[in-house]
Amino acid sequence: MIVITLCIMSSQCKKDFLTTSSPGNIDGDFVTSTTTETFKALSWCYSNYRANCAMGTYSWNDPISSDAEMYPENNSSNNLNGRLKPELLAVDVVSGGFNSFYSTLARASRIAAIIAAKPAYQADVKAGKATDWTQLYGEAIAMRAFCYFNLVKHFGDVPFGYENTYVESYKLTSRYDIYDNLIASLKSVEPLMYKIGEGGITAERISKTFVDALIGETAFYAGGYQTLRTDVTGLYGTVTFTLKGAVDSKYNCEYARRTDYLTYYKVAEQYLQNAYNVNNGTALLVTSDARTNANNPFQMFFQNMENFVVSPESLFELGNIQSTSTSSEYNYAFSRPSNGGSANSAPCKAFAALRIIPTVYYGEYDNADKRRDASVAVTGSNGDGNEVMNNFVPGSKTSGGISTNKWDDNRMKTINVSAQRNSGVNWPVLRMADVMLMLAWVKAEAGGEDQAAMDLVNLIRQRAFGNANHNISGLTGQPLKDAILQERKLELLGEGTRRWDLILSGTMSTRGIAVQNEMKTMVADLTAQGYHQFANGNVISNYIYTKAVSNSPTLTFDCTDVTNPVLFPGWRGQYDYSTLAAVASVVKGTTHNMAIQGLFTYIDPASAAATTLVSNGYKKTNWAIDIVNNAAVYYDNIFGGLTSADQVPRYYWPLPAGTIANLTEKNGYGLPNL
Amino acid sequence: MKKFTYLFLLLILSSFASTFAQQKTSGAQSGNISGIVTDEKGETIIRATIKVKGSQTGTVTDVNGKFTIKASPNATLLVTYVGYISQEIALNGRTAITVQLAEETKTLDEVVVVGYQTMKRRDLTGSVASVSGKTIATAPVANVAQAMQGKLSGVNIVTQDGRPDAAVSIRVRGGGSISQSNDPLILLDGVTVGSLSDIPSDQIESIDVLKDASSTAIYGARGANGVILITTKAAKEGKASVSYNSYVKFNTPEKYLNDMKPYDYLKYVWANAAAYGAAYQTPFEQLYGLGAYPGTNTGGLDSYRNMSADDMQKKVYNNSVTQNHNISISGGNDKTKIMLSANYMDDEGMKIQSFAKRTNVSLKVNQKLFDNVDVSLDTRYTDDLVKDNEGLASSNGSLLSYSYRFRPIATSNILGDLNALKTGNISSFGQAVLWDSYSPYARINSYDPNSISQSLLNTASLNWKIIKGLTYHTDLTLSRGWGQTKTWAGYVYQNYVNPATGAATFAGDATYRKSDSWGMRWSNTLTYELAISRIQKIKLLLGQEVTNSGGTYLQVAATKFPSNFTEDNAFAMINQYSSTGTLTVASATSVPNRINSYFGRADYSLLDRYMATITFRGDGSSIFSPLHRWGYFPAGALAWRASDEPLLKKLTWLDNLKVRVAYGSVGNNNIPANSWSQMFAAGTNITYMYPLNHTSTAYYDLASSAMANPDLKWETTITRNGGIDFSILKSRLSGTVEVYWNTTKDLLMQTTLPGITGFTSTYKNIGQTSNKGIEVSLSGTIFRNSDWNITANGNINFNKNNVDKLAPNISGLYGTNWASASTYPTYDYTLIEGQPVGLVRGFVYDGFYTTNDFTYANGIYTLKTGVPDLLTSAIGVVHGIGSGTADRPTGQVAYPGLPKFRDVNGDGKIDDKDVGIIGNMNPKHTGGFNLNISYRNIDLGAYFNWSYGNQIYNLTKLGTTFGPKEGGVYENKLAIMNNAYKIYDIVNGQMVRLTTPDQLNAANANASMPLATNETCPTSSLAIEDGSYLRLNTVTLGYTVPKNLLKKLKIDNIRIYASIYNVLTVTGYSGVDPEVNTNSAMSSSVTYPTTGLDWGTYPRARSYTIGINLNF
Repeated sequence: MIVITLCIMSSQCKKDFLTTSSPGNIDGDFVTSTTTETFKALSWCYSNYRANCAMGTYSWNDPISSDAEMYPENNSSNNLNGRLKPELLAVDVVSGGFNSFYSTLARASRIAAIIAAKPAYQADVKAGKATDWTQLYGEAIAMRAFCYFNLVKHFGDVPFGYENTYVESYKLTSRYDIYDNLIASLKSVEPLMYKIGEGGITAERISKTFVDALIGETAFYAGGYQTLRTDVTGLYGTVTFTLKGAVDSKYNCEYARRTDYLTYYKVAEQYLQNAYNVNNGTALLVTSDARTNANNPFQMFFQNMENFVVSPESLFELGNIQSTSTSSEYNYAFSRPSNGGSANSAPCKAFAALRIIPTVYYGEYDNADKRRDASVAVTGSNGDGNEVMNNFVPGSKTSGGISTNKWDDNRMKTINVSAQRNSGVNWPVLRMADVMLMLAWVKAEAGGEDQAAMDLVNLIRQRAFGNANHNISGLTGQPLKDAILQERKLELLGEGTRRWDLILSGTMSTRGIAVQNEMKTMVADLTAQGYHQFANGNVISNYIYTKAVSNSPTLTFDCTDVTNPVLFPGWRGQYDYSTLAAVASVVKGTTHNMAIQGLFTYIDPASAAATTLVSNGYKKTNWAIDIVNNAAVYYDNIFGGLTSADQVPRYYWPLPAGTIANLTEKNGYGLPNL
Repeated sequence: MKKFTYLFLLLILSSFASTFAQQKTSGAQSGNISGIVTDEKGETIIRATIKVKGSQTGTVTDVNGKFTIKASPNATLLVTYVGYISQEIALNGRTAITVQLAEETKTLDEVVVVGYQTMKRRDLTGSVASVSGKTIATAPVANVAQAMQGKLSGVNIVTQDGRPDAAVSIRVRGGGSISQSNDPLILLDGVTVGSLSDIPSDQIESIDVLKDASSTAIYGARGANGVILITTKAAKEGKASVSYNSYVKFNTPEKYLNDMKPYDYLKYVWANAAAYGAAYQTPFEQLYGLGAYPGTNTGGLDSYRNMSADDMQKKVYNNSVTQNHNISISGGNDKTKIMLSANYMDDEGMKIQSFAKRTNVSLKVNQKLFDNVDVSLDTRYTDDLVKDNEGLASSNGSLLSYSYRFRPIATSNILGDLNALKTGNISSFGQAVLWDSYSPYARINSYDPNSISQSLLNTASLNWKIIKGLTYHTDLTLSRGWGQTKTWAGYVYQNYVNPATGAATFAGDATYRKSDSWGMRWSNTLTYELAISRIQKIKLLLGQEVTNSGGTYLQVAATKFPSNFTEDNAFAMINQYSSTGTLTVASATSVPNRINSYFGRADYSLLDRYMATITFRGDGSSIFSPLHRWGYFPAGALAWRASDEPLLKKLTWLDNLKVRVAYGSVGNNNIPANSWSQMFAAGTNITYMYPLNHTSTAYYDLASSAMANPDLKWETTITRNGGIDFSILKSRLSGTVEVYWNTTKDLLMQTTLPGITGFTSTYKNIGQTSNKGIEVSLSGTIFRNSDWNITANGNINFNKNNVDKLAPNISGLYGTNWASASTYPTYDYTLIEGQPVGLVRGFVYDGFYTTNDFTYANGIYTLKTGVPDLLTSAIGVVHGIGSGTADRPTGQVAYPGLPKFRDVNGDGKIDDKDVGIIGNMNPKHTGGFNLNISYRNIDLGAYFNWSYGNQIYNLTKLGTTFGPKEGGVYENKLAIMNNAYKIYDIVNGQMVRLTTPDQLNAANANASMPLATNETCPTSSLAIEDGSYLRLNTVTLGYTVPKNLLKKLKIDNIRIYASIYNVLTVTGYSGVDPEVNTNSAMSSSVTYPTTGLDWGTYPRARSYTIGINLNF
């Protein structure tokens, strides 16, 4: 027995008895055994970016805080940053997003390192050919750069390069050093990546096309105005700056850009040009519309998203899927609103966090611009199959003002009516129009390429108007730059770019105060005379006249006939929910459409015209009177923290406590530290 | 409730009184040798064993205590009975004898299990606390650990709260780890079990707790937190016996949270809604017929004044019944012994939709193969079925604790327009607190989480006495476990409701998980007992042990079942989910956990009064990297039985005096497998299955979210122990005093990493903690005669925990994040060198601002010079108070009614620098005492336990003192907020804003709590309360039916008893119960103990039990 015992004991005690593993725990070699397997490891980064980085940090904030866009609720903590009141934020308010950026880029770095060690990859690099391996390596490096780019954008100077290492003390890295590093790393992988359309790469993955744009954008940001810290000695090394306004001595910051910014604009120009028409692959600006019921190629970009089709105009969009918990903020937070319940409605609730400042809608679009109605919604959905007016009472859903119209549950190819936040619409990151207008901007800034800049703008304008009659010409210097900025404002409204355009152009405070004043002038007129007329002739009134009518089809498209109260403005109406069995019982009545009178012209409620409308079944409906009654809320939601045009804008998020704790420097700009 | 308690006691007493009777035994029988066996009181003993010494002849006594046996008149009879001192009786020619057996006096000759062997307590050199199964059985509780509370010195037991399968925290002498488990190693008959909750108390023979290294070093790597050894009852030689124990228990919640009643609720929430704006106020007024929207309610708010409350707390949490049955059959002869036990417990939870059920069968067989070889087989099968709704506290507390926030007015009593429920901000945000269809009651009922687990534990043993003194023993344990979780989230819980009709659009979602686990343990020991000389003895133990365990699972989750499906249909046909639903499948195989160990122990004694023990163990664990696998744990102890010194032996009053000292080290390897290598694993979360072209793809994630650390090694605890055991006055009084100092170094600690590393946590060996303490336990006989026996025992424990050293990069700050982003400061707990674990940080609460703190002009309250302002981020957005041209100057935060905090550093402002330690959650001392009284056949036991000097972080209270937005606006509050500062009040039936100092002063003359319309909740000493308590834990009254009454029934023994558990608690604590231990896992980043946290807790039960013990 002892012999048996000893035998078994010795076999039990053999050397590797204590080395255990699970067939479910696998190493880096296993997950990169083939290129298909490697993408399974890398794809986590894309998902984590969508679910926790964008969602955790700026998805809400970027599109709700400019001189064109605002947040709809009164006194909410959701837009404290947007209102430029960062001192009210809690230190960990975006800790999840901040940490997720680093976990995403750390994972991308880890996978890049594993790929770099593979002989197959090394052979491809040696041969100088773009293959699946060099594409995957480039994707990983670009994902890291993309995360750092967004970190700097939203947090300013951050610790750089500490990923995947245990650190006990660390410091901030100058954003300018980070930009240089990112540009260099992207340039090193760009040559051996696939363009969109090559090697099965679509805009749902990072391509050479996107990397070119990202290099351009990074350089563009490096050369733009930013709010900088003045309380960390030596942080920016030898970089020198040109200031806008004075130094903020209370919060120790200044609004400035580097004096050698043109060097960066040159890099930006080169790579944005690459993205536009050198390495664009199959990506292009869509200028035609094959639909029979509409001719609006601008709108087609968004319709493609609702159709689950990757638009040829996309350089990068994050994949999503319907009916699951995968952060479907599009058609919920950034959409035409709906009063529907959280589930089982026609359609379900759309909170609509993103509202268009009325002076932009009324005063800044040319009436012939087909983008206005496709971009801004004056009506929403009532959740019972009926169109309903949006109203200006602070709140959410159809309260809170006019909203973006670029995304709308009513326009989905397959509508998910079972629960909110389940649309499955992809997350747009970058589209060709944005690239072209950035390129125009850097060409205008760099000087000597004014015509090329105007040509780019005009390509956008021709698409917007459907003809060349509205092209710009003969502009140069500041007027040209202003025109480009304005084109970006109207083209990209609600897409999260305007806030950064203001910052980078050094005009956040001046334009912020300007829009506040425009609102005050409008409110003063509304108070005094019941309406306000804009320079383009459009009138906003305290009251409008509305009536529920039936129309077929219930969903509407382009409309230039301003006398048609049902179809004008265009891109409204409702999906016919009575055709969907799951919610047919929820649909109320048959008059699903809204006829609107007096939206752009003044109808005096005491006039005969008003009386006639009422006798025809129209209802006198609160419109701008609700802005008048809640003017203080509007002033607060539109840069409430901005009180003078030469103020240094403080628009950063705090680094979370977990990182601040052992950081050599603390949070600046008046952000909390504990 | 108290009255009911006393009545109940009285009833039990009187029913027993009628059966008081004392009868004498009589009669005689003939035979070769005849006799009768009685106890000291003259009661006959049934089934005592009588053997003729030196032969195989034997018999047992009958129901009258009598026996006859064939024996030579010169023979010697050996009379034995469990629990009594055996007697040898020389017949010396007698043919009839009377034998009176004396009860074994426990203490000194009590056998104590010390790890791979047993010892008599008199020979112990280490620190071991013990409690008998009999004592454990006095508390009729589901989890044995609860029955141990207050009965073992140096062992502090805190139950989470009143849920049916509540977690029980057991701490032996504090606990050295900070982030890792401080749970002791629990061994059931030598085999590791995770929890005590699977072990029926009726089957327990004894529980021994090893406390110092000299005792626990034999368990090496697993011994750092102490070792609890459970020994189950085994078969005894003799005629077969059957025992049946059973009880029925009625549980009733001891206390509910005191929430606002209808009138107060409406008054408060109306004002609160007004502060949040018309969008909240208007639908609220419409709903209840108030203010501008009276509807048909002409009486305004007064119509609700005397309305009875609709108490959601009582709907979701109320009385329940528990039953427990245990039957044991045992028997055997000198060759074969068998013990078969079966147990069934059905513990209905007080919360609706909750229960814990347990079925347990165990078989112990022992067979003598040869004179020197025994084999035995222990088989234990356990089946657990637990239904419990909620995981842990979240930023809302639990659904249960949330229930007080539901409107206290029944729908039928609402006097306004019910359509308002479906409009505006009520429809958007108020569903969870205003809609019946989303009430906590409805949601709990719509959620059915079941976990079913079965385990089979088999241990085969062989004991071989090779030569005199040399014994080989081997245990081979094979275990298997099967688990299932079936969680059904029904259509209400998941909100699959057609809003027009209320019908289900989908039936619900199902998650089905099947898992299995396996374990193997094989130990081999050789013991050698040798008398070196007449005065020197040595006992050697050498051993080897190997353990190996692992498991797998397969999980399928499907959503949106067709509305005609029931829960059962869904689990039976899980692929029939709707086309818009999803099906996710996951499987995993765990990393096997292996330990290979060699150990030895030497016990040396000189003159039976000088004793020394040396223990050594080497453990290799698969948890660590190859470089750091092996840990070595030595220990030594000395003991001196001073009372055996000739000088002291003369003292007749001194029975025993022993002095002990011990020193040694033990380890801890309690971290997840593979913490040292960064591996990948298949991902299972649909959120991360990156869709290409709107189709999900598979992905790999890191196997662990913590950063790997290849340098991880054992955590080591050095223990130093000194003890004195004494017994005096013929054991009338005995006791133990122990002093210890434990130091834990190289702490295996989950530490926070800055997010910039890509990780937020890692495991490291960092820092050092210590626990110093004194334990005193006393036990004595107060009075004893033939009728009465009154004994008492108690223990008191002082433990001082200290963080000796933290790594320099550990900030020590950590937070519960209890109100998510609305918590201030973010980190409300801290670790500080030189202080214990369990410190809460925040502001010092100083009441609230009053109008006297301001100058008032043109409607604006401006702070007077010298009065510090509040920190904006500590209080967040405050509703109902403007700034700039209204109410207060731009930039000023303070306003009358807002909470005021102490300017600790005197810099004229309240900010993060004024945040300091506001509470210490550690008790100064804990303990328990018991009183046992028996009079003839009646026994009465009272068991107390206490904790003194600890504080509680009462978030349930703090959580009602701020104003979360949206859904929070309509929540009911605790009644303490009836006296909250008001800036809105009812004037002429309308809710109006009070502005002038006169108005505010008049409305707030009796205010005692601050205004609560602030969105962020500052942690302050308002939440810190004294948590000291003294609890009469259990009172048990039993009656043993006289044996002669039972003869005809052929029953040996019947005892019936009644007991009350959680009888009364003396405390100043305002929460539901001062014994509270909310799980800390509210935020994934919290890894350090949030000691003393009260958040989302279930009220504890007071239980009334009636039970019976039967022996055949």
